[in-house]
Parts: sequence; structure tokens; C-alpha cells
Amino acid sequence: MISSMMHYLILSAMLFSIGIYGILTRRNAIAILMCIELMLNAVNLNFVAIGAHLTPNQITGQLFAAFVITVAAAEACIGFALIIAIYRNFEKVSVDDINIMRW
Amino acid sequence: MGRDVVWWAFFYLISAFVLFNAIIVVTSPTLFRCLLHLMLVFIGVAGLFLLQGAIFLAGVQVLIYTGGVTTLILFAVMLSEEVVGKGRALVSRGKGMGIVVAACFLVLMFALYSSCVVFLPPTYEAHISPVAQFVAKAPSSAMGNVEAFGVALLTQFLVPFEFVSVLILVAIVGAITVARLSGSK
Repeated sequence: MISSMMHYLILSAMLFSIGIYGILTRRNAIAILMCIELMLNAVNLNFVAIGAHLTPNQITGQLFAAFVITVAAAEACIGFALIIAIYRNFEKVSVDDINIMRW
Repeated sequence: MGRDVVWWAFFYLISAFVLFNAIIVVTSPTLFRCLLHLMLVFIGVAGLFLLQGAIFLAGVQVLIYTGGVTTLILFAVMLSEEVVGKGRALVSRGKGMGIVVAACFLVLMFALYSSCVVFLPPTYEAHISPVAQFVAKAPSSAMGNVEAFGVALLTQFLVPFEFVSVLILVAIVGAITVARLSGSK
């Protein structure tokens, strides 16, 4: 019998590796940012599960997850603003075509 | 004991739901469909938070991710060209390498977890029933969780709380600046 925390950790590892697969194979910048959101959700699952099991009387794990959600929202905001700006200048959102900073 | 069975049934059901939708997110050729399934992943993760007694966090997850971030992505999708149908470069290169890297990460995490009993504190009981933990953790009602959140944010975590609000402000101003300056070209 494995504990429910271990189930959460394994589930979150699976979700994270799905996100890794997406980031490595996608070429659309928007799709890559969506995969990053997937990975951040996996991290939040870890925070909540470990916090609930190792410090059951404190709320620290959930608080860290809340901070991660906040920073992720800021990151998504900036990321999609950048994508919109890039699209306006280049007319494309594929990361293979946006290589102007590559020497 | 019966309640434990229900807990595990919910856990496996929601886990399968989340993983299924996540796989669709990374493999679907249509960007819009990716977005809709990402939304379902967010809702499923909120359900998993609920199973751990994180009531407030589940609400925040639904509000911010399902409501906010998804709408943001929707704007980005609609404002770029590839709305429906096959985006020219949406799928995908290096599938084999992607699978290998993801599998390597998964194996690494499994190896880490299988040895992580070492890191657990001696007070940790692995075999406690999840429902018993849930009941023990929720002091009286949903208000217990929210109240604990508010107290912790305004006492012990006041400084990070303020820093995060400054970060949000900077992100808002930065996003507006980045998105507007390029348009005035």
C-alpha cells in the first residue's frame, strides 16, 4: 500500500513529463506556453500533496502553490503579450521562424 | 473504510481525466482544441486540490486558471493566424526525442521517489487513510481553510505577499507596454 502522497507525486511527475514532451515537440509559441502551464500545475500538485502530508497542521504548502499560481499568471500575461508583439512584427508565431536573435 | 474507497475512486477517476486531457493538449493538431482540453486539465487539477482539502486553492485554481489564463490564451490564439484547422507549424518535430527525454525524466523521478522514504520525517505515517487526514485537517468547515489562508498571508507571509503584488503590477504595466509599442510601428 503506497500512501496517497506518493500517488500525487507520481501523477504530478507524469503530468510534468507530458509537459516536457509538449515543449520539446511543439513549434507554435502559444502551444509551448500552454505546455508550461501544464508543468506549473504539476508543480502545484506536488506542493499541495507534500504540504498536506508532511505538515498537516500548517497551510504552507497551499500558500506556496498560491504564490506559484500568481507568478504563473504574471508569466502568462507577459508571455502572451510578447507573442502578440512578435506576431505583429513577423506575422508568425512559430519558434522556428523567429530566429532573428540567432547569429 | 467505505469513504476511503470513494476517495480513491475519485482520485483515480480525476487522475485519468487529467492525464488524458493533458496528452490531448500536447498532441492535438488544432490549437483551439488544445486550449479547450487545457481548460479541462485545470478543472481536474482543481478537483485534485479538493481531494487534499485545499478548498480555497481549488477555488483560486478555477477562477484564475480556468477563468483568467484560459481567456488570455484564447485572446492570443484569436489574435494570431492559426485559429482553426491545422496551423502550419503546430505539429511537431522530434517526436522520438521528445518521448525519450520525457521518459528519462519520468524514470528519474520514480527512482527519486522510490528512495525518498529516507527524506521523510520520522513522524510521517505513510498508511494513514486519506479521508481521516482530510477530516483531521479541515477544522470545522470551508471557512477554516480560507481563514487560515488569510491569517498566514497577512502575518507570516506578509513580505512575499507584498512582493507578489508588486510583481503583478510590474507584469501588467510590462504587458501593456510590450503589446502596445509594437503595434504603433
